[in-house]
Amino acid sequence: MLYKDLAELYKRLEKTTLKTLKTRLVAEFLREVDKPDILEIVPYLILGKVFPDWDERELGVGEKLLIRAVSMATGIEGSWIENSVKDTGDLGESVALALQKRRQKSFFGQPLTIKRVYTTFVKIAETQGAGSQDRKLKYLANIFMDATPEEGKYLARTILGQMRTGVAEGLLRDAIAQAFSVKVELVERAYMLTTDFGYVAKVAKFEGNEGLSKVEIQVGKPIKPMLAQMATNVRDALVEMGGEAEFEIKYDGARVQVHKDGDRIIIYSRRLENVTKSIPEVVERIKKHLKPEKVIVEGELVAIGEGGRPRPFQYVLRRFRRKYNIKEMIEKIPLELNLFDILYVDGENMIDTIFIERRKRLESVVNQGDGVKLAENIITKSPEEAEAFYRKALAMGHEGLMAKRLDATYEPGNRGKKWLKIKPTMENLDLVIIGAEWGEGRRAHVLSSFLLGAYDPEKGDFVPVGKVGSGFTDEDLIEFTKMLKPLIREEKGKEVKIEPKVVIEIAYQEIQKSPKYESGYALRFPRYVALREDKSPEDADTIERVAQLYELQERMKAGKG
Amino acid sequence: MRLVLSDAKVLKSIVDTLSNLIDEAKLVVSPEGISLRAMDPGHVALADLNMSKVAFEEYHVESNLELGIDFDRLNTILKRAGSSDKIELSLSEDASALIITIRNSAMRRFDLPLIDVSEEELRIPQLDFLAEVEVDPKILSEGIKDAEIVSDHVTLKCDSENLYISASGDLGNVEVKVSKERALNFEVSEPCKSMFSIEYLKDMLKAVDAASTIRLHLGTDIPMRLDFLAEGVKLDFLLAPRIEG
Repeated sequence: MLYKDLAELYKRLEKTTLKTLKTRLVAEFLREVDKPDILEIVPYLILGKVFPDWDERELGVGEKLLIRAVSMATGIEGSWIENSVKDTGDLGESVALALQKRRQKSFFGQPLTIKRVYTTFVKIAETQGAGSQDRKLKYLANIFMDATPEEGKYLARTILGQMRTGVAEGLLRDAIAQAFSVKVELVERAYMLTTDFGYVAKVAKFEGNEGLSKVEIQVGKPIKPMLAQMATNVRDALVEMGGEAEFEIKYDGARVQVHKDGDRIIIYSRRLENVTKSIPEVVERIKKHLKPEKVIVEGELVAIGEGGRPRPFQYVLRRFRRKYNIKEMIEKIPLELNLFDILYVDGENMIDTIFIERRKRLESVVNQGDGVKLAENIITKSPEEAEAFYRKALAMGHEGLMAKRLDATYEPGNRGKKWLKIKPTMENLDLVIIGAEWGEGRRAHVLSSFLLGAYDPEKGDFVPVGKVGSGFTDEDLIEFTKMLKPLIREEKGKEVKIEPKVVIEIAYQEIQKSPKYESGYALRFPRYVALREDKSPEDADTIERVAQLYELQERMKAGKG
Repeated sequence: MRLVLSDAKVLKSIVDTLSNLIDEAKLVVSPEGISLRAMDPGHVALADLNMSKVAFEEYHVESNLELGIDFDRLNTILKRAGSSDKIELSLSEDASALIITIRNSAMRRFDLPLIDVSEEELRIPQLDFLAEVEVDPKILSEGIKDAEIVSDHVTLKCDSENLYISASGDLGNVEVKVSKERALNFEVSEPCKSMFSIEYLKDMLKAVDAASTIRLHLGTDIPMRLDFLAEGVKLDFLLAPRIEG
C-alpha cells in the first residue's frame, strides 16, 4: 500500500471539521488495508504517531535533524527551510516547499510505500550509540528523497508529532467499528484491555465481533487505568458508595501499572509510558515481593523524604525522566510502592471480579517489605471512622483518600462514581497551554501570559478557559519560553498560538460562567502550580470536568457540600 | 577462502570511503576477484568496486561467495590496522563471520559477523558522457576544498582547453582552472557542465589515498562518473547531479 494514499487521507481529514465525515474517511481507508502487518501499523500513523505511547521506542528526531535530512535530500539549504517556516508557520509546509524546489537528483526513485516508511521509522528509533545521528540522517534523507511534496509534509508532521487532523482515540475507535461492521462497545473493550489499536483493528477485520469479545488481557500490554471522580467530602462519598466502602490513602505519587512475567518486569506510568529502565531498584523488589509468576498489579509510587514522610509527586517524575546516572538517583530519591489493585494473575482475568475480592487476592500475592507495601486502607460503614482516617492521611502528609465501592468491577479507562477521591481543596486543574503573549518591558523577550485550554474529547481539540500570568518565577518564564518557542503555530502582534503539547497544573479561586470563552467558563484568579510532564494533552482535564467542578462548587456554596 | 594483502593501505582507504556512503552491502567473492555494488541510502551516489586477484599477495577462492558486510563495523576494525600491516581475510568455519587477521609484530584476529543484506538489484544507468579527463587525484580534491569555502555545491565544466571547478555563493566566487596540459588524459567531444553536492564529492574523494590516478566522466546535467584506479583495483562512483536553482 502506497504512502500516497495515507497522505491523501490526512489531507482530506484536514479539510473537514465534521466528526462524522472524518470517521467515515478513516473507516473507508482502514477497509482498503488488506495485509495484516499493514493494518497493525496504520491506526497509529492515522493518529499521527509511529508507536503506541507505551512502546519504549521513539524516533528521537528533532527539527534540526529533520531540516538537515530534507536539505540533504533536496539540495535546498537548511537556512532556506528555516526561513520559510517564518512564512508558513509550519515546518511540514516548508518541507513540502523544499521538496517542490528539489535540486538534488537521485537514481532509481521508487514510490514510498507505507511499509517502507514504517520500516525506516523503526530503524531510526532503534539506531543508538556513536554516529547514530548520522545514520538517522541518512535513513530520513532516504525517504524524503522519494517523497512528493504532499507526502513530505505529512512525513515531517509525523516525525515531529505534530499531525493536526483532529483524529483522537474515540474517533479511531468508531472508525474501526464502522470499517469492519463490528460493535463499538467491543472495539472499546478490546482497546481498553490492550491499549493497542493495531491489534484491535486486526482482530476486528479478521475475526469480527466474536474475536473482539474474546480479546483478553495480555501481560506486557498496558490496560487503560480505571479513574475516579471527585467527591465533596467523606460523608458524601460513603453515601454514594451505598453506606459501606473501602477508604484507602490517596498518596501524592505517580500511579503505575506493573506487569510481571517471570523475570520480565514492565512498569507503565499513568500515561502508559514504559518507565521500567528508570527505576531498576523497584523492578528488583517486585521480582522478590510479588509471588505469582504472571501478574498485573497497580499501585502508587511515592518518593520518600526525611522521616519517611512523602515528598511531592514531582520527585517521582524526576526519577522517571532520568536516563543516566540512575544509581545516584536511587539514593537521592528513594521510592516506595503502595499497591492497591490486581488485574490479572496467572491466567486469571481479575477485572470482572468485585473490588473487595480483588483486594483480598492482592493481599495474598504480595510479600510486604523492602518498600513494597499494600496501600493502607480501612473498610467501614462509619462516617466518623472514615473521617478520622482522612485526618490521619492528611496528617501523614498524603493527598487525601480514595473511596471505592466494594462490589465494583474494574472498569478500564472509565472515570465513574465507583471510585471517588476526597481532597481538602477545590481540585487544581491540569490544562493545556494553547496560546501565549509576549511580555512587556523587562519581559519583552519572554512569553509571560498563557492561554489555557481544557480538552474536548468529542472534537479532539482544546477549548480556552482562561489566561494565567501569575505564579511563575522569572526562571519559570524563561524555561516555558524555551519549551514553547518551537511549538508556536502563528504570531499576531504580541499574541501567539501554541501547539497544544504542554500540560500545567493550575490553582484558582473559583470557576465562573463567562461568555468570554466559547467553553462558557472562565477561571477566576488562576495561578500556576506545576508543570505536569506526566500528562499528555489528552490526559488534561476535560471541559466536562470543568463543568462538573462548577456544579460542585455551586452546591458547596449553597451549603449542601 | 583465504585472501592476503601485503599491506592494508588500499583496503583501509576503500572501506573508509565506502563506509561514509553506505551502511551495508553484499561483497561478492569469486575465483577472479572481489566486487561490490551499492548505493547510499539517499540514492544519490552509487559505488562499484572491483578488486582483481592480482591486487592480492595470495588469493585462494574455490567457489563464488556472497558476504553481507556492515561497513561501519568493518571500518572500525580496519582502523586498527597500520597502513603497512599485512592483512588476511578468511571465513569462519560455520561461514557466519569474516575473520580479519592483522599481522605486524603481533597477530590480531577480529571476527566480523556477517549480516543479511536486503536484495537490491542495481543496474548502472546508460549515460552519454561528453568529456573524459584523467588527472592526479590531488588536483580534484584540492579544487573541491577550494569550492567549499563559498558553497555546498560545485559546478564542473569542460571545454576543449580546460576543466573548471567553480562555485559561487553569498560569500563570493571560486574558480579553479585545470588546463589540458596538466591532465594525464583529456578528451572532450563537446563543452559540458553539471553541478554536484560537495558533501557527496568529499565523501568519495576520501578514496584518493588508494588511487594513483582518477578519471572523471562528465556530461551536461547528467550524473558524473569518477573512476579511481590503482593496480588491480577499480573503484567507480556515479553521482547524481543537482539542478540549477
